Amino acid sequence: MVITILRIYMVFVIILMIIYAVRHFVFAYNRLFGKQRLYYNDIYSTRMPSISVLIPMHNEEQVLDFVLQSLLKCEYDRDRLEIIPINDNSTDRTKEMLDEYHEKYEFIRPLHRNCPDRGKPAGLNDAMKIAKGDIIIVFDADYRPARDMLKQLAVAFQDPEVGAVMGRVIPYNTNKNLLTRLINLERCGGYQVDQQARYNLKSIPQYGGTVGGFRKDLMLEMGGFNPLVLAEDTELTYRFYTKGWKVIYANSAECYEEAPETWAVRGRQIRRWARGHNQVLFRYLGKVILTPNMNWREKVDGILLLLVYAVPFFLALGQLDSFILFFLGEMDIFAGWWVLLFIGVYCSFGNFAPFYEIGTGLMLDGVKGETMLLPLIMFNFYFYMWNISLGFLDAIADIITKRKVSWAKTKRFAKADNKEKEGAN
Amino acid sequence: MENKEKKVIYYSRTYRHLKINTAGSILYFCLLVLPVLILFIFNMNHITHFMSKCAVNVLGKLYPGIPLYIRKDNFSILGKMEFVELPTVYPSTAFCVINFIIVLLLVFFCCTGSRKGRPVSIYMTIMLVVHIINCIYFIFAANYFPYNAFQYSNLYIKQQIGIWLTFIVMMGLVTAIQGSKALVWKILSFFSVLAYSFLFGFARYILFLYIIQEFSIIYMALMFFAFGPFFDFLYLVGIYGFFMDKVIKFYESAKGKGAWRWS
Repeated sequence: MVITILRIYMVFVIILMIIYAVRHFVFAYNRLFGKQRLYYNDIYSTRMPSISVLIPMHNEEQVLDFVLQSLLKCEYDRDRLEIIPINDNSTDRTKEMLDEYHEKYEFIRPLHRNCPDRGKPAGLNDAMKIAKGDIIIVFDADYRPARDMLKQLAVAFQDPEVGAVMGRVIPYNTNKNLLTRLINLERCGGYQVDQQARYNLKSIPQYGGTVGGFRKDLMLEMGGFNPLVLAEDTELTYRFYTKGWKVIYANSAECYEEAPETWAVRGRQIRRWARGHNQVLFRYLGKVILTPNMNWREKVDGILLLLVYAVPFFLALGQLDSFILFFLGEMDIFAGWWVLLFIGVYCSFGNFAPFYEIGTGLMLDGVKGETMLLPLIMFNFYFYMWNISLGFLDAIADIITKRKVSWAKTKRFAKADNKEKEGAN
Repeated sequence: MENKEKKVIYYSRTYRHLKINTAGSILYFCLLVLPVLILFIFNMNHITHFMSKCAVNVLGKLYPGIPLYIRKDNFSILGKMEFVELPTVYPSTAFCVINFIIVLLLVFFCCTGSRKGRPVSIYMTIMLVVHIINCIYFIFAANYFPYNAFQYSNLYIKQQIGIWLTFIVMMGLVTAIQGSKALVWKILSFFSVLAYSFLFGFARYILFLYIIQEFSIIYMALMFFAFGPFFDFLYLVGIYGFFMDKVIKFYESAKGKGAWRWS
């Protein structure tokens, strides 16, 4: 009986891997050879909506200059623009620095929060209440938006079906070390291929919580962000889709972010994402299946996207399963045709399909040389499997214990560089 | 007067894509990949025979006294395969305990200091834990270990055939679809994967048989999980990365840029 269950689980893992491998190949093929669905770039002449740019900050003295200076250079009618940096219980010089900006620029209106419910969702909720714009655009504090970014994102809301828009994220500290180079590869596959293909296929482009925007009234009507959910971005995506709104992807709206520069920081970031994403999985899986507001294509992609941060946990169990089967002498599951099937699937899951996706992304971006790093991403598979599994277990513990989640900020590295440069000079 | 004209006009990468060369891809697959695949399936017996013979020759020289035989088995409906039968060497309890202690120290090494949480450390820790379980198995229940050298050798060949078959199809498909204009690099990459795969598969088989003969079957699980298909993917992805680098350079060159389309 036990062995049967173990074998059935192995078959389940194999099927799961096949499904995700096919998904990756479809996305890569569509992006490389399919007709591309264009964004709304050509309707700039229309009256642009009023926007409020929200920037959640917690001890961001190292990087806040970069994002604010970049935003000040952005082309957008100043009468229709306001910037609200959300100083969320900072203990460094963030407050003073933001107040200095406010003195110089009236449309930069910092919101200082000194309350126990710290966190991005709670901060965004408070800021939305004072925001004057119809559209909310969100950037993280370590981002550096390009000059036309605000126009690019805001223009999407001329389409009455659009509830939210997401731009493309590109790391700017790519050449810092091996980790940042590898993250750059993953980002390239994830945005240039994955997000654009989902936009092409009219499935579910995902709102990523930064370099994106949404309709303020809509979000307020829906009760604002849920402070108990860590992945407020994923939750927004599913909340909008299940209510019949669309999220669209603006591949041309490129924004630069700071990628984590140490494995420890990256591990914590991934674990937090996995925890938040799986919280959304538990809340929205049923709703996605039952809602009449999503078509079958959106439902299929929506379910697969919801499960993205659960699959590595299933694979980890699969690996454990294979160890147990091995020591029980039940490796005949791999005999004959099973060998073919197992190896075939293992190849594709062994992330060949994601490699194909990343390779395609690098080709489309014209990035030379970096493909030679692809084999190193193989080891990341175990790194992600470990950290995502921990995040998955965190999410389950959240449900069982009903504990309150606490927001953890990703460590910044920018200032350290500057200091080093200053020292060198 | 200063010339302010742009010297380079960058192509927009946002929505560019390529036109699929369906006929070319099908032709490539049918004329190159399919014949190689058929050739492999019909020669599976000869290939594994040659592989086993090489292993017998090497092991025969290293261990002149031991009985080594080449056995036949069915590989599903695809035909026969051959593998080496060799005597099983079981580890002594002392050897298992020494292994256990060393591996425990290695796990501690991987999980501490700056190595903690790094991808290679996580990978090594998982694999070393498998070896720890293996050591415990041999210390307390060696008689119940479900495999011997004969079964391991058989399993290795089956797994290797699976890898070869999959790699032919996968690399064939990938090179057929991607980079239709870089034909030379496509063919070169396809055969590079196959050549490396065969050489690596041969060498690893002989090495694994040598290890279980020299140091006992205690290393079977470690070799199977840690140095099995995972290492095949490493070179597959490595050669794919090399191929893509050439393709990218081609499509960014003056000759290749014309292939890009914008809807």
